[in-house]
Amino acid sequence: MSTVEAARARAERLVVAAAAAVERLRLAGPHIGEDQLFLLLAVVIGVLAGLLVVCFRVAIEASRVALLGSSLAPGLPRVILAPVLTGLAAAALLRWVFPLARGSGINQTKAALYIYDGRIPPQAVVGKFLSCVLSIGGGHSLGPEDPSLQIGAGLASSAGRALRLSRDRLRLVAPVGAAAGIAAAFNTPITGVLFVIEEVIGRWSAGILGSVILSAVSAVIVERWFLGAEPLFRVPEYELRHPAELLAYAALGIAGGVASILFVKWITFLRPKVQKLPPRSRLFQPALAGLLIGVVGLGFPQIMGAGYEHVDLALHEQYGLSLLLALAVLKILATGLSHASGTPGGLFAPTLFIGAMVGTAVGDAAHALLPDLPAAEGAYGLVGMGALFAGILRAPMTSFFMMLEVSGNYSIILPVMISNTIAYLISRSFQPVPLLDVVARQEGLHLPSLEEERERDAVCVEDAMRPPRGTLFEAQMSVGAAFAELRSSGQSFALVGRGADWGGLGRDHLQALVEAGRGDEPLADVLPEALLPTLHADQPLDEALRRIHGWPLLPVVHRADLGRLIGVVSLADIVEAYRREQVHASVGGRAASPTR
Amino acid sequence: MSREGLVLAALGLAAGVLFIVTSAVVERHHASWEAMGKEWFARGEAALAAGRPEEAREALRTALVYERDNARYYFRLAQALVAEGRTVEARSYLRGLEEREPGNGPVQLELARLCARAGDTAAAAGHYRAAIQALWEDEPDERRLQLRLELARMLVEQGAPVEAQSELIAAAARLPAEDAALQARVGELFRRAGDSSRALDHFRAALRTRPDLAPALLGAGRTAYARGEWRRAVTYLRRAVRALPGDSFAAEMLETAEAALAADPFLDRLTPAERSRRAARAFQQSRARLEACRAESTAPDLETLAGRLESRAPDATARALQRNPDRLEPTMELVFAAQRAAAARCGAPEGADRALLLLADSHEAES
Repeated sequence: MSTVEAARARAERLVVAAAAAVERLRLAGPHIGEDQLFLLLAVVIGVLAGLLVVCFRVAIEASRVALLGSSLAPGLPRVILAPVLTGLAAAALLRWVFPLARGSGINQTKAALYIYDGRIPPQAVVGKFLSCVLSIGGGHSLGPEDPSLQIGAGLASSAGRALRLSRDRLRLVAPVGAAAGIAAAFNTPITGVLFVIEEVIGRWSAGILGSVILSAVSAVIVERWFLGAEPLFRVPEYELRHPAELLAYAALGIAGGVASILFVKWITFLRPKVQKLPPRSRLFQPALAGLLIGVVGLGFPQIMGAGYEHVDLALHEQYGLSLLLALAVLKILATGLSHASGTPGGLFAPTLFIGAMVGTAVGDAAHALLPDLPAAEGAYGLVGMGALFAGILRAPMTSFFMMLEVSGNYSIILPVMISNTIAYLISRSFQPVPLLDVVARQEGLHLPSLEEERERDAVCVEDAMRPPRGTLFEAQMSVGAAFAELRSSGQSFALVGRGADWGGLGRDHLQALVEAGRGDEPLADVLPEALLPTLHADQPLDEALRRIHGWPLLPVVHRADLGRLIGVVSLADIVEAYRREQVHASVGGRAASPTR
Repeated sequence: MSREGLVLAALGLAAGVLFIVTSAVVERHHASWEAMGKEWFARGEAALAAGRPEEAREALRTALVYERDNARYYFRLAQALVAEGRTVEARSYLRGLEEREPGNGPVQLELARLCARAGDTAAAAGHYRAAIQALWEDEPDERRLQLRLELARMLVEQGAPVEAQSELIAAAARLPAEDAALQARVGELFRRAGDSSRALDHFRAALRTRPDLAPALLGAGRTAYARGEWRRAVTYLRRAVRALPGDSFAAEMLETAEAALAADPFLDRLTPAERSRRAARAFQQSRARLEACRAESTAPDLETLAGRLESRAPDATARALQRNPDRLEPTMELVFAAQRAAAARCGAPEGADRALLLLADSHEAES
């Protein structure tokens, strides 16, 4: 039996098993709950996305060999013709056949989540697949991971719509597919999950996390089934033998931060300039970018395509210092040209390429200065990839775990954390708006910036609360005395505590009780049955808004002693706190705006 | 079946179909990649065989793009890099291979040679020993013996003769007695490691099997020469010169050995008259040598020695020395001192002076 026949038999068994499982589910109850359906769908999406990403990777490699030849250094005329012609073909596809496939895959997935109710048209998936096979295979300086993410998201969106999921679920199904796509592209399930949580969804919740994990794991299993468990490049051995080495990694973090800024500034500078060119030139922009890349490729073929084979060579100390630096600079320029010209493809692979070159160059220089450093230059290359990932894509947690997953070596975590954090902080200082957000705005999408949301200071109850002066009364106090005290203090509401329970009485109510001759009764006897909702000082102010309803005041109590009042909050206090926060944010925003 | 069930079944079916398609695509892809890998590997091998390591390096790197896990390709690439002199890159690949398969003999051997070339004796010895202990499919005992001898040679060349002697003793234990060439090779290594006794044993063992084996004759002659055993040296070197007619080194050494044999007053079985004659001749030769040297150099030690020779001259005739044999030893000490001083001030001597200087060294070593 051939491998194909064996695979066919396995697939048939899978289909029969899936159908039987569905039937069992149907028989088990009148209807599959949407939660269970969503989880099951996540697995199916993961499998399908994994299969598509495998086909996508194979197609890109086949396209590269067909267009540039099997040599690592393609000669004339292929090196010029391939990027020019594929640039032209990809532009024609995007213009006339698949216009919806334009733009960054990550941003299109975020747009599906935040703008289009989870909708990503199937044409976008097909268009992205075909155009990227041409452009990346033809040598444009872009990578397959971002398109893989969009392919997974688009597939998930179509499946979700076919299942008529509720609007909330439909919005979230695209990120579930995106996680599968990115996990399969990198062969790293944790990275896929973290990236989608950190950069696309922006929040952790048990429901969505389970689905994202299931889809990412399913996709990676499929990917490994076909292409093996090896990472995209062979990883050098790493061992941290002396803490002093961390200084070299700190230097790498600085170099990574500077390289990140150069890369982001170059892209954000070039893209608007190209966009201002006459619309009829757009058809030829990728071809022109391809021509320039081809010319550079004559001397430095390493910068063409995703370049993982050259990352591998750099990590294994096959390039000298000057070549490493030249490749880093040229890759930045070439990727900027490809991206600004609208050529389809992603920025992950170039980011890792630049990181590997910068990192290995720093390692090389460190070894030249301190020959006794034990770690090989390649280990610096690996850490450099993480630093650039953190600096350019601004997903620090993803960058930590990505390097852990790729290296399979926990001892790399300290250098990675140091380098990535430094690169991230430098990048943030000189480029406040993350690259993906800038690109989204250039594409006309006003998506929420998840980094800004993470960074935003939450307004809490303590920002709105005031001291409970004149509003707190003992439960045994008489109604008359309480009314007199309220009137003298000018307050309109009395808070009365009974252990951990809190009640309240308005001044009008107290006055009515006094006029009815019940002024001597204790407050405890006349309190309404409805208890006041309580708040804690650290809770978000939104919570106070949700709970206040028609109450004039809410008690803010101590978490360790619910009978202890530490403040009160009224609706006016809440509104005032929000107003103050708005003024503060706009002042901060104006301060930051010139650099944006 | 509910709508959800139908859609899920349809998705499952789509997954099944896509699985089959992907299987076919990936299978074809792997086959095509493997073929390209083999093609580039063959190009690399051809370039290596033709002595074009740079071309081989590029071809083998390309082969590895298509067959990333092929250890053979990595190994050949490392060898191409070594041939090109790019030892840092080669070592990186070899280390990768070593991590994957620590018991790979050829990889350990290449690493050992690289470390030796870089002067890292300890690391090189470690890799040699790992290679000796590794699994070898073809003729493992013979390979291990050769590796141990290569290790010993490396240690000798890197200035670690004691360690080299240990390795040689271990190698000698497994040496086939009838293999004269190997016995001669081990003898030569012992000689270079400073163990002249074992060296002579192995040269003799080689000569027992092949009496005309030139390397053994020359080695034995050199060893005897170094030990000051002039008769034995002359015997072996004469046979070596006959076996190596064009070898000027052997002929020159023989000439010196013969001169030393003719000049040495301390040889056994000499008559007192002959012993005194040799000492007197050596005295006159050294006096002449010192006088010639004083014409070139005015160093004070030469003046002092000339004075001492002058005052000793009446007692340094053959007749005087035969009459008073106790003076032979101090006379020869003075002769040796004069030869050493002249060699230090005026350069290496030739002919009879060279023989006397050799006798000085030999005598010093014995005492």
